Amino acid sequence: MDFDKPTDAIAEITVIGTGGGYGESCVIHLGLQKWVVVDSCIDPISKNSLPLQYLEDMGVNIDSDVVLILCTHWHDDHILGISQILEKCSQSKFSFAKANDKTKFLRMVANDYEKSFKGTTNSSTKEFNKCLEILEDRKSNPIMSYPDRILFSVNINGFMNQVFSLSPSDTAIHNFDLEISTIITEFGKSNRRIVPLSPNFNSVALFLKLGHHRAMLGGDLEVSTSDNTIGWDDVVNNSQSIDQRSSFFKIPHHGSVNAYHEKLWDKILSERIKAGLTPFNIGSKLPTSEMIEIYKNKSEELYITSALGKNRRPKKRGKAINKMIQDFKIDLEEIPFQFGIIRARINMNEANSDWSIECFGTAVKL
Amino acid sequence: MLKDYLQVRTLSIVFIGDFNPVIIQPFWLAGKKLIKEQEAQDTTVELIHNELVKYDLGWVSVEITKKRFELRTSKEPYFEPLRDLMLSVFFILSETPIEAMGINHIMHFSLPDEEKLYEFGNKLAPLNIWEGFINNPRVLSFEMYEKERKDKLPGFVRIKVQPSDQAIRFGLQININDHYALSTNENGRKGEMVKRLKENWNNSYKRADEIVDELWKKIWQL
Amino acid sequence: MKINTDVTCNWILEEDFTKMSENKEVKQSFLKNLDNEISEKVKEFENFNLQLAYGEFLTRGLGTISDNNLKKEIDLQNLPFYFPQQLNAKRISASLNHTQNTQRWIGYVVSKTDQKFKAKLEDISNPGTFEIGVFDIKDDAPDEQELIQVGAVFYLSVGYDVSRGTNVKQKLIRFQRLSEWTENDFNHVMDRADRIASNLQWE
Repeated sequence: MDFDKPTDAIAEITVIGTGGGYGESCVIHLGLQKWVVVDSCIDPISKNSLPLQYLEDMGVNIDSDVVLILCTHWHDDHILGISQILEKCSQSKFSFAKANDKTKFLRMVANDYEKSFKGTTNSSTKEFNKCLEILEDRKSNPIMSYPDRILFSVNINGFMNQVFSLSPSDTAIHNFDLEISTIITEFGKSNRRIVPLSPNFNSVALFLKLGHHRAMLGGDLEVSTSDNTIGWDDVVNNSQSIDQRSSFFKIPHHGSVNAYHEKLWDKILSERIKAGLTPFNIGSKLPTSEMIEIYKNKSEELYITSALGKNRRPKKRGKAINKMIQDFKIDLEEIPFQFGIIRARINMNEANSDWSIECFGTAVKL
Repeated sequence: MLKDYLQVRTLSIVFIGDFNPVIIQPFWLAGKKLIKEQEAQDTTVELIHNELVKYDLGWVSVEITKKRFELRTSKEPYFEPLRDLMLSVFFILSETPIEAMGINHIMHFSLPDEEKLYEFGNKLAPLNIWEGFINNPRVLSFEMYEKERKDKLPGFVRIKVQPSDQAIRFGLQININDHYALSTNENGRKGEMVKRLKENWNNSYKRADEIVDELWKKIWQL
Repeated sequence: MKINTDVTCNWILEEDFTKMSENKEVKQSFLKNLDNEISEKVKEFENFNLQLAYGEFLTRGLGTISDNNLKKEIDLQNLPFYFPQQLNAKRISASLNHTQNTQRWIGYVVSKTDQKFKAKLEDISNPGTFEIGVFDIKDDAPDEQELIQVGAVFYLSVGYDVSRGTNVKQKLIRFQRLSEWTENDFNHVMDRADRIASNLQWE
């Protein structure tokens, strides 16, 4: 795939998807060749970071022009390859969701990392640990994400283009501190991998000011049914940084019903919103067809990095092995790799300009 | 690829150090939950002596002397469990001084015909050099030594090629001894070799495959 | 284990040795000679192989104690390193138990019910895409039940098991068994975490 670099006045939000098993990522151009990378994903064969590859293919000077790398949540497989990006982007800051008890958090992460060479660690923890080591070497402090925090700011043609974190809320941060103890207890043994325990209220959602325009990236943030001081309720009710409706939205949590907030769509997002999402294909399949209909009704245009449709199939292997797998009645389905890109661009200087969206690879408009 | 002719693959991990062979008996392993109780019950013991302990758990063979500790299996499904067992024993016995490690990959291949086997030896060590003063020369064993490891760790790699000692038609055996030594500022008493095994297991396995593939490619390009 | 223990000599012996002779002195003298022989062989072997951590077993089979012969026939090689004889098949071990055509995965449990568990699997034989597998606890891992928990790591393989010359198709699930964290491990983890905590400030 051939990608051209946007000019300095063109903002870009690119959503990269892998079919729902190998992570997802967003790449943002803030203008003047200032780039931000949110999460990471890999090609499972080459293990190369796809957002890094995308930037390199465009000819971006990754050593100097990537200013911020954000890890929206550390314990999920949304950050595969993120350490590759941080390693190459020597000028970049690194941000993740705040943990109040820094030492306890680092001990949990280090505990999991210690298992890594026995094949037991969650691969995201390994990535996260590598990032911490890189930061340590560089003596570069990480930036904590919490509500209404400016993660990065740049003046472009008189506009203050900014990246705000909208979450996790204070309550979610506090709850996470408690959860760390549970994680260590449940998954601290040397032969257990960390499997996420609870819905994701610690994910970092972002609000972007891009010249005349606004955009929102939902991360994996969900809606709580019992506590309005966490998740999207907190963002919708309490955020101070949202000053204008967003015209582009990266739908959170693969479009699940748990991440759908009616008020967000009706009051915070533009009526003419353009939206993109990535599917999920491990265990349950997301988005469901019902949610797709809801999102289609709520948005002017809706895109997905790869369509869900076909059922998962057994992986292709040699005849003899396949026969053995069948003979033993082993129920296996491959998580297919489907590389899709939704690229949205807009002229930041023109108030009346609209997002122009293109699809590459397996990405389609719904 | 040479891997297509693979018949038997044996993994052996060896630690060189100071050991007390009689400690590491099957019921000790089961007691530490490193093997199943039933495996301890079903162990075939050849010898338990304060100089030498040797037994077979069914999936791994254990041989321990006062200076040498080896686990070996020719059952691929148990390669990672073997590694886990080695690591776990020496996590528990963390004070054991260990001064060197060998991760040994022993592969037996069945070549298509006698001519291919002959040609393999001939290309490794041209037989025409020996003709004239030795009758009908054949290569019986060929060994190469990588003096400085590619990964710059202290140690070396030894590769031995010979006809297979197993009942394999036109059998070729390649032994790759991936040897790790202590660096000058290490004394072997702080789990250095256990850490080396942890960190280099994947690479060692991959490297063995690469060596075999490259050898095959280069032989038939000649 | 198919053995008897002779506590005084610190040996574990084949069963039929106890029938060899009723004379305690004969037995003890025999064992002492055996003791010396083994110590000699081990020394020779170690001198050769000590620096090399070479993957060669000392023994190729210890033989059995014969009822008719007080001298145990121990087939210890003088040197483990020997020239194989392609044409002489006597050394060939039909008892080298091995596997062939093996496909291997490493997996971890992502969810579990009373009867089944679901796992995410990484192909070790041909690394690339992941797979999801569903397994029956009773059928697939009957003697591993206490290890089956969310997050637990296991090894899955299919292939042929070749034992005593017989090929049998085999499926294997074995859960990972590792030693518990030691104090050293914890200290190492704490040290690492504390080091990072002091070197990195949360901004």
